[in-house]
Amino acid sequence: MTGQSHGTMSPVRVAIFMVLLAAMISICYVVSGQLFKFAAMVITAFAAGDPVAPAAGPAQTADMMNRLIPVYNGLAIILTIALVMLAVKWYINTRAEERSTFLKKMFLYEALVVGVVVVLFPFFWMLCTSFKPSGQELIINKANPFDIVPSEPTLMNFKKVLKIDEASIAQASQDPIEQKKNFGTYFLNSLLVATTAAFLVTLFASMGAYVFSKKELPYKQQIFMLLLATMMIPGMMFMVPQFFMVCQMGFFGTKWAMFLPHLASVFGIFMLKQFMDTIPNSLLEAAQIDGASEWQVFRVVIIPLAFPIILTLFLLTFLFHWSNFLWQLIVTNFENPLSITLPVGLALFRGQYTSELGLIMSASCFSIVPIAVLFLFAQRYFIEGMTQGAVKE
Amino acid sequence: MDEKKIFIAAIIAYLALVFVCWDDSIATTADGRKILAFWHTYNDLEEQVLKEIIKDWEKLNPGFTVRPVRIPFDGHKPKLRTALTVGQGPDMARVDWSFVCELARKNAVANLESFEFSKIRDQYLKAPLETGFVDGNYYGIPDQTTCVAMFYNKQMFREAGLEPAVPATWEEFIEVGKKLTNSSNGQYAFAMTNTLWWNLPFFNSFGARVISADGKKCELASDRAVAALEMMASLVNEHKVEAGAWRPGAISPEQGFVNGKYAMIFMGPWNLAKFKNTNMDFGVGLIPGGPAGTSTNVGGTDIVVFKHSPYAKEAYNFLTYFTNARNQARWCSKLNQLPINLGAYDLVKFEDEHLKTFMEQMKHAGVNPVVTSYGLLEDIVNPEMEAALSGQKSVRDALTSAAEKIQTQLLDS
Repeated sequence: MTGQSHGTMSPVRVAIFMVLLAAMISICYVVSGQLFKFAAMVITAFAAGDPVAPAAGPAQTADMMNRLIPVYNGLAIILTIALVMLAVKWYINTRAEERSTFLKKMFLYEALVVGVVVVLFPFFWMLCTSFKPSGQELIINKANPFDIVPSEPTLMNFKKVLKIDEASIAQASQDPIEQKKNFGTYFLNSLLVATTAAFLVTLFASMGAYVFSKKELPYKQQIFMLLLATMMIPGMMFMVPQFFMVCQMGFFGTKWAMFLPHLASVFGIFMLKQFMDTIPNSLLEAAQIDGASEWQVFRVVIIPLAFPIILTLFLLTFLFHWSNFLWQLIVTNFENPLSITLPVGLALFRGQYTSELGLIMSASCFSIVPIAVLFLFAQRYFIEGMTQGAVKE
Repeated sequence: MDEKKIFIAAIIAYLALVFVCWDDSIATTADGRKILAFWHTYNDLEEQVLKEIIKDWEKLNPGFTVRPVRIPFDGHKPKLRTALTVGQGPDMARVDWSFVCELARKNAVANLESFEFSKIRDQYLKAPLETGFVDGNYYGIPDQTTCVAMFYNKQMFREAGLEPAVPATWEEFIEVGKKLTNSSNGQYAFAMTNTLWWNLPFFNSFGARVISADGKKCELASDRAVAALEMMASLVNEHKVEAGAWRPGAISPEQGFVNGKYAMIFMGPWNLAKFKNTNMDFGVGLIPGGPAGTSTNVGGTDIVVFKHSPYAKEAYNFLTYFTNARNQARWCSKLNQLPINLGAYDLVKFEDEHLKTFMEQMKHAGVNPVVTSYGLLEDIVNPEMEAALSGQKSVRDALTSAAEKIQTQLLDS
């Protein structure tokens, strides 16, 4: 691909550069065009504000979007030209013998950008669809199939999800429960359930794993094997007995029921034990010689050393409870709509045959926020923990 | 210490969350009236009308109050199954039509004949009513019904030089279909979803039944059913007027239709409002007729009364009130839905012409197969139909093998 000749003006290299440049132009123009249009669309949607009279709404926003066409297209063209000029300048300034490296790098970056686009496209589609009015979700722009940003944006989906649209407010004024029966309540409920569950699971699993890894216990291996064997049974099998137990304890419809049966996490114990096995015993002995109590050894030596894997377990448990639809559906007391959690709340938007795609997508936009935030903050530990657990020395 | 600050902030945020979310009890009215719990799966608009009707009923029955409890449609089956195992079930529930049989055979719901249902039975449309008919008795009252009819893109008909109307028979359909198809630019006359429910209009228009009237025998290998599936396969393979929308990864009928790729699709009334928002020029016609004339499938829901309920009679009383002609007319006019009560047919005035077509189509609906596990029935039939459509099996072989499996796995077990 790099060409064989080493002359100062190799035509093969220039040709490759031209091809890469052309690819760059098309990628940059399409992607930046969509991003700028998206920005314009968001501004329009908010600027148009309340489309109180339905007749004024779509026409108004469409008109605004039409007027913004030269702006976002112009910005995309300017950005593309600037990038082309930069690339050409870098290419010319690169010494002849390093140009093949430059081309390789350019190819690599372009391939990576394409990868990023492929990965992020579903999220972008979700964001765009959440601004589309009902009925427009599946329509493809015939002139440009890459154009998925709506031309008649509306905030109605978000308003309906948060119950701040006109109809909901009117209804809510009659019924105070209706007022609280919105996405915000579901979201906070899920946040509480998922954080509590994740914290307690990591606490119990790390204490259990510590014992299985470092302590003497009669029949330790056998007990551990027995515990592992329970992982072979699919979780669905436990569902009815667990539900029965929760009801007998009087926890039906409470927050306790949402996570109590899942606190004993064999998977968590297994994962943490495998990691703690790699911590040398001499470290614990040194701490004990310095007079540390059992709890201090656990807190000062084990926890900090196993922190990446503990955080990984926290994230995995959080994710599990954040999206655990079936169990939360079963234990929710629907007579009390204020106890509904997010996955169950999202399901309320789907009917027998219809699903309001716009509503589901705008609700999903909110629902991925905590996961995205958690992952951004903890990704360093997360990836570290995953690889460290994988390789046992 | 930065980390400590973050830690403390996290704890404070968590405590605030507990404070906000933990206590979610709501004050429930305790004025001495007996409560009838009604689990439904209606949407916001439907729930409003339901509450209005409940208010009127409570005026007539001062000792009782109906408490509507909304549960998600996705998941109403597991929710009911688990709740019933521990005795937490409601007094009545709105369920998918295909779920009534399972509830009846598991002895969970009341036989409506114990409330003398036969006296008022004739007021309901036959096809939806029969979805609640299990082993000789009625267990569910239909509360909402749908069927599919043929949606067509008028613009595409005009471009092909045709009068925009759905052909009356399958033979004419194929003729018209050839003129509408232009596979070189991805334009097809028809697109279908290959699942049993969506294909029932084909089978019903040929007069074929999936399960015999007594519910004991699978009749899917009958000559009529074979003829129906052969006609479907000819749309795909011989005449090439179907887009292959049932193949994995293909453009779905709904998406292809709104984007002007498919001229005709089967669709229900639930998408009328959505399609109108797309500003496309479309019409709705009756499904082309086969040897048994035009026909369609039945969808929708039934309401069942649970055996364990101490107020089963009052629950039944509410349901007959809820589905009487006057309330059905009110419900359907407000929500643009098809009535299930024949008396309401004369009372409802739809502005939408398409809904009138649906009302007409509904009268010709065939009877749906009523089995304990409808999901299993679909799981058995769908792959066999796909094998027949894609030419891996002959139509008769596919249907014979499906019929045998249904007989052994579903009906005899």
